Amino acid sequence: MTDEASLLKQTLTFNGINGATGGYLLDPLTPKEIAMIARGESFEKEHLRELRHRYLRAAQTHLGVKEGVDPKKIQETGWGVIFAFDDRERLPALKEALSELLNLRQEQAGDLYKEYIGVDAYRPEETKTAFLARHGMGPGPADPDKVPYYLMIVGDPETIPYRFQYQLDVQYAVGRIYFDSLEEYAQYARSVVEMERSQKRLPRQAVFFAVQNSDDPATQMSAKHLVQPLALEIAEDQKQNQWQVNSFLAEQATKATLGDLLGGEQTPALLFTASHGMGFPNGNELQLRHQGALLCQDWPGPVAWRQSISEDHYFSADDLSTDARLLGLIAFHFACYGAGTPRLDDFAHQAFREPVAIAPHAFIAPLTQKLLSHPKGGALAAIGHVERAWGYSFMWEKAGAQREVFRSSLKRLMEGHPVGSAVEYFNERYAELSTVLSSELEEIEFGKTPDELALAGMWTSNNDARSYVIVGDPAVRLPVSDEGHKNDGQQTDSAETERPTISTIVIHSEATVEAPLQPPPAQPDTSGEVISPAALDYGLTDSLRQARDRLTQSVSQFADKLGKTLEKAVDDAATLEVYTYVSDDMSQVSRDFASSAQLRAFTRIRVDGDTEVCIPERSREIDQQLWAIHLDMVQQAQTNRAEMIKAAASAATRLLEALKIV
Amino acid sequence: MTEERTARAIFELAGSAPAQPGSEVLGLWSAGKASPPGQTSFAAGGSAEPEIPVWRVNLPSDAEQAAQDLTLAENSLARAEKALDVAEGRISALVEKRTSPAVFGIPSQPEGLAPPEQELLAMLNQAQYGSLAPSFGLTDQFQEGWEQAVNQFQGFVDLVIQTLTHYAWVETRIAGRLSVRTAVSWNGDFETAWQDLIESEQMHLHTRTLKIALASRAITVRSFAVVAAAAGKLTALMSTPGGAILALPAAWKYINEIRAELEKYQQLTQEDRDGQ
Repeated sequence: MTDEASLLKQTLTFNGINGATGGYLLDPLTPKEIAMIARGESFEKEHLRELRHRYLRAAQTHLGVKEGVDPKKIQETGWGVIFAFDDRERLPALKEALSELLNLRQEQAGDLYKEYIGVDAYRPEETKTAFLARHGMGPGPADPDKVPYYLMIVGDPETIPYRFQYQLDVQYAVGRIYFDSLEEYAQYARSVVEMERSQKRLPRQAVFFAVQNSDDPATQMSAKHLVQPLALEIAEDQKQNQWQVNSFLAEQATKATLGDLLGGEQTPALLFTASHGMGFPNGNELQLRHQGALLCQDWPGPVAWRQSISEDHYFSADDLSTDARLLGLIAFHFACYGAGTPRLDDFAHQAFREPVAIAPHAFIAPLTQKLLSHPKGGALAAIGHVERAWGYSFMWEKAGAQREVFRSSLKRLMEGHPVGSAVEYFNERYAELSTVLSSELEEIEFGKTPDELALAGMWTSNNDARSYVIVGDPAVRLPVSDEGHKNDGQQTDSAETERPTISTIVIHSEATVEAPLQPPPAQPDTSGEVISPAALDYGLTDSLRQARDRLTQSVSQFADKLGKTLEKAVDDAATLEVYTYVSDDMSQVSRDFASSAQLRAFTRIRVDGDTEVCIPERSREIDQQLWAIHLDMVQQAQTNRAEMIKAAASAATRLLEALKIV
Repeated sequence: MTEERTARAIFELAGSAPAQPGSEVLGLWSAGKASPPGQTSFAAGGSAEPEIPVWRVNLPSDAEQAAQDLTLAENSLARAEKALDVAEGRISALVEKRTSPAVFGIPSQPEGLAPPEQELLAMLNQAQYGSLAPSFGLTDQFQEGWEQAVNQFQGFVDLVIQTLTHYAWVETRIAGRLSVRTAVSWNGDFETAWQDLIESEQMHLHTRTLKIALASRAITVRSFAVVAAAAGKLTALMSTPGGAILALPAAWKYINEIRAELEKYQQLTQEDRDGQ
């Protein structure tokens, strides 16, 4: 057994540092503690069936999409975009901002292009199984004729939860984008389109960046057993494909170097980083800005540094230069919260059966968001971890380092696979681990003595494998020069030596998808593309907008009157009065019956049942004919009152229900 | 045979914006004129109050004919009420069908749907996409239909508001001569003025007239409830902001078409019966 495997046996470490305290995000857990948590795990039956199916299928070397479909060809795999039903009001604006990308994918996928909007959109609380079933898909390989293999989720992880993404990712190639402003959506869309439509290509350069902080077992392990050997393996493997692979390890893995790799002169086509990800307590002012930022070699380590982490130690979204040249980059960040943060702590949920909030809401790592939406042109995709990343991603008890999932995924990516197809190995691993774990848990439930170390390892690695996600369009691929081109650091079709950029996008509207924490800086550049405010107004034409306004006014007026009427009805319900008059000249009967006709009969019925009656007489005898018709009127009055109150109450109730849906 | 004996009953709703300009409320009540000269005594201060709806039935002098006309009116109202039930059921079925896994969204083809459903989906489609894009092969005739539906719906809302906030005046005229008038407050208080020494038969004609008028009011208010509920259901087929609001006129139009469908069916059945 290796020393590191032995280390794992003692404590399970993960890649996350609490920025506020300088300590680890979670105290190291013993295998026994983890095993206790694992035994609290429960699996959705449908999802488990899917995982088993996925695992068995993978054993037959089929990945993701059904047999006969080339995952490199979007015209065969299809491409779809999933919006949230809850985002229906801003859907037209979102689609307008993403129009360049959507148009491109529609051209590429043809009939296999799908937009999941309106009735087809993701519905609140919907599981992956329910979503797919609604669209004609059950378990099994992705069938692009029913649901496209590449699926891009557009929505924040509160509206479309990470859990849905994890589940859908088992069967499909899934990515997600969510930005704070329409400009960022448009910038991301243009970045992808610019690199796919133009002939501009990046040099075949990949960089591995591995932090190895002092006295820190997690980064020492990831540097030594993941990044360093992985870089060598990839370099060797891709030498024939003329990839140039560089590594920045340990002392070289500084914040300054990372800045140079993220938008500076050394920015490669593919960047792989391994480090701690920054975490902050729920409510900390830095959490939404810096969580998931990459802690660099500048941090002296947990022994030498026993205070809150300085911003000089980590690279966050704030460190990304406005002049950064990132266009075309695909990044892989092995770090806690490198891709995003859920609202609830998975560990606490399992251990204590109660949700513990670790953030005010689920969110995508701001560094990743900013990398993708940079106004000069952004990264095409980032692969990373939601929640905490663990050493089990690449270490296994008794077996030592396990890099094949990483190596295979990177190899696919570097050989032209779209990112969603490239990372299928992670999904396959998740399926395998879940299947094994659920079987083990079942055995334990029926009396087997648990092997705590094995169970802890299985559960942790299952959680770990599940939480790798793609931020970005899953169909993007590395936009590198063709094999055989000289790796001279220049674009293949241009004499320019600088990395390409996109033209500035300006949206002349105050509309934002959600109010950004800080308003974006003014963009006076008039040479940029303009999305007109009209296009942002939910796509309604003037006539429909006017109709909607008129109807809203009518309905509001109606609701107001209805409310007052019902209120009055309650007040007036104490009595019911019926008067019967006669007149020998009906043409003279005025509004005031009492003054223009002769009262012959009267009935007042009180709510308590008391009744006052005035009976008509003719020639000192009861006028039977008039009395009979008066009684008929009383009966009609009672029936009418009941029916009208019922009808009005029903109208009020149903109108409220309908407006609630609005 | 005199003119009065051959004349049929006329059902008028006066002093109120008709729900459907150029057509009839609930397929029964045509837009009537304000009180004729000499009838201004209806209004305080001697002037007419056109905002007060007057449900006026002018019956022929032939009592038998009058009774038959009232029976037809009662049947017509019963169909109007049935149309609400039918419309509710058909809209639920439509929404269920359109949101089932086999069918995706409004834009898909509406094969096998009845004309009211096709038109309803076309209107929602238009509201959804906010354009005059052709849908189901039909083109911009829908925009005209849409505007008309909005206007009609607004007229209908005005009628319901009047119904809920004003007295209803129900008059029975025999051969053009006013014989009974009942003022009905919203909460159900009645005041009735009868022509002195009115015949018992005419009294009963008025009680039937009153029932028809009051049932018409109740169905009108209930129609709004059904329209609101239908619009709420139809939002499941729309992703447009304010979907329920925009669905209201479409639902209202749909319900009227269902009622017209039932009327037509009744007419064909009657013709078959008469032909046998």
